[in-house]
Amino acid sequence: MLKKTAEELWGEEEVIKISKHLETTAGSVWNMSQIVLDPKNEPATKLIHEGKI
Amino acid sequence: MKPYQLSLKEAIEAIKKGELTPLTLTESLLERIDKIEPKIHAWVTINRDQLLKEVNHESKTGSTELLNGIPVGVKDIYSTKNLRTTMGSPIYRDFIPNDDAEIVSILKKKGAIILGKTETTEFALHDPAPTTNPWNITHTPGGSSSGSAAAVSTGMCPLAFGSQTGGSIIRPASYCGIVGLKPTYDLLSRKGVYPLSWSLDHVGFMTRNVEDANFMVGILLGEVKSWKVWNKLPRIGVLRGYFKEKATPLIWEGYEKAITKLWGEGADMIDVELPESFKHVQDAHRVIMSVETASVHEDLFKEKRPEYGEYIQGYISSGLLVPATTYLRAQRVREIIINDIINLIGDYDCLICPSTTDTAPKGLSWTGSPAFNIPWSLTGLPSITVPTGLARDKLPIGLQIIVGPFKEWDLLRIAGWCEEKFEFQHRPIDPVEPVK
Repeated sequence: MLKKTAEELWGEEEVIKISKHLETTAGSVWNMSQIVLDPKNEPATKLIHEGKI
Repeated sequence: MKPYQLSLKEAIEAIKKGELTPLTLTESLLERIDKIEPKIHAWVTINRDQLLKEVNHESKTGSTELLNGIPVGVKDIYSTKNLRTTMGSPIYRDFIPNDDAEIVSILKKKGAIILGKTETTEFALHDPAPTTNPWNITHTPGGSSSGSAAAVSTGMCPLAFGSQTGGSIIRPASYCGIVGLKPTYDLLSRKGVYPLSWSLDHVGFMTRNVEDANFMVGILLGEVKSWKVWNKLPRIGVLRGYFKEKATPLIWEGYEKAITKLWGEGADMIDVELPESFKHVQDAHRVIMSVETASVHEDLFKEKRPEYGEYIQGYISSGLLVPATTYLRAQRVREIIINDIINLIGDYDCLICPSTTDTAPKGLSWTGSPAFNIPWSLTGLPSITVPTGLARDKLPIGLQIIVGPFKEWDLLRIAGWCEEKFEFQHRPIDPVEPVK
């Protein structure tokens, strides 16, 4: 997604130059999205009552 | 001994006793700079004319301020009134600030004299400075506080200031065989220090021994304490795991040797298991730093993109594309990591790990990995590097010591205890050229 947006913004040539950065940051963005935030230890999640949706 | 070889405290004592004048000290440092700077390239600007005027003034007033007449090096991202401050960037090549950074103001109030501005990587990120490593001038001194580390190591000044967002104080200090202190986040003012990533940026400094670092913390916090090392056998949490995976064999060998030495001296050395959340350190740091760097530079970058170096261009571009929710998620994950580490550290007097993943890499095209410093920049915990000896490649190795937030006095006293045991030499070195 990052790469596609970058191409739209700055063009293919520019994206080739910065591709390593895009890949590293995209990897970290993906890894962050995979972390389950646990109400036991994450302050914002703690505010939500548990229950069945 | 020549004046440039004196430690900070020794120079202050000698001036107090009348054995040395600020002018003699400054002349000795300038002579040292003239001799070795062509090989080391630690300085962007030397404040030569103004410096001698100020030193003469300090000498005549006979000021009793604690740093009376002591010349200090300052990284070139600290604003210095009427003294060029380039941020290591061509965009700021002629920038003359109207004011001093708050730390610079404090230094001046305490009688210090700004000797000059030390080399930094571009905007304190990655694109390297021309500085070389005094222990082997074909190797990097580390970054981003490259000039500060090399200048202190070679005796061009007894004290120099730097900043750390990833590993920019501890890593260069370790590569150059000196002491580097990164205090607790926000303990020292960042006002007037060009931001890279505001929630990760730390202000700190480098000296050639721990006693000098202790003295400087006292001056900056306004509570100078008499120096004594840790007076009991420390209970030390030994970090391996993540660090062993990333360290080179040379570094790991040096680390194990340091552990054995401290254990032999009676320290209680306990293997510590890192919390589960620790595995997210690098990703959380990358997301937060890339977004904040992009945010700091967003407007200037639009206008002057071609004048930015290759690495920082890519870094800012990638940060501009990170979703806001991911940045906030990274900050939430960071809070979990901080809580877990603070809970862990409470069982020990300190934690230890190697200061760097490797000894100073060959070449000047990159400044080495900050992987062993990032955890302590992300958590904001105070850390210090103390040289333990030389590796088989004749380059310095450092031990990184970490304590809980705002426990700088404990950190310094434990570091002093360790320093005594390692018996590393703390006098300035001459630049080493490789044998052809």
